[in-house]
Amino acid sequence: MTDQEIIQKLIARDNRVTEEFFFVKCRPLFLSIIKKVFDYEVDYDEFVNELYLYLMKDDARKLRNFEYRSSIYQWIKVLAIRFFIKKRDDLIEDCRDETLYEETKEQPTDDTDSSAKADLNRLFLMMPNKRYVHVITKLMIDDWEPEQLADEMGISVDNLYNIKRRAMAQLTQVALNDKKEYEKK
Amino acid sequence: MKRNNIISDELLAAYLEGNVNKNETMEILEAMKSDHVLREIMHVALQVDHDIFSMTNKNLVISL
Repeated sequence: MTDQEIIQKLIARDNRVTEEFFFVKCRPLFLSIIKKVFDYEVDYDEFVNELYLYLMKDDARKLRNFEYRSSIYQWIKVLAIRFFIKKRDDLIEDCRDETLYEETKEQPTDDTDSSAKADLNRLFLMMPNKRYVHVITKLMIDDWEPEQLADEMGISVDNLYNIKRRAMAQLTQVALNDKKEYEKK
Repeated sequence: MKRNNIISDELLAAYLEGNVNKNETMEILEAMKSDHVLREIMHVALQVDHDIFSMTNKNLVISL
């Protein structure tokens, strides 16, 4: 089969050719690339599926634009190397963001702590259901026991847990909306 | 072939197979001086070729 025929079959999503070329013939190539680019173990199938989706996106634009200046095998090799390098760098960037977040969370300064508290109070004021605010305040800030609060509210503990779950959902939604508003400014 | 100062995959593949002209060759070599991703792509491409070549040779020896 010529390169032109392979490209046409891939664009047409011919199952047999796709399986044979992309998932069988190129397997040693992709294995070697992944091994060189990542210095830790990765999920081969997941990564190669992502590469395939990348190749097929926008109605297989990349395949359609191929000009046959090299063999398809050489081209796929370069394309896959660039794709996996970018994926690796994106993953590293994500890890850095998470680390920064964790560091901030673990070592709050007095300023950030008081600022976080002020933010929480502001969000409480924005919550439409004040009963929910009461539940969160008593359980999470004043450290009341659930039985104590349930008794004070005249409800069962099970019912209190349901209310607490809905209260947290409302707090989260208010926080998300607040972030959107903040980003608009 | 060259968009936003990035050498295209097609041109790189053509280069690796020797299907480029002098100007394209110079363009790629010049870009490699400042583009570390391009340098890594080339480095990996060469290593992968070596792997595949070794694998193919091994298979040939086994089949003989």
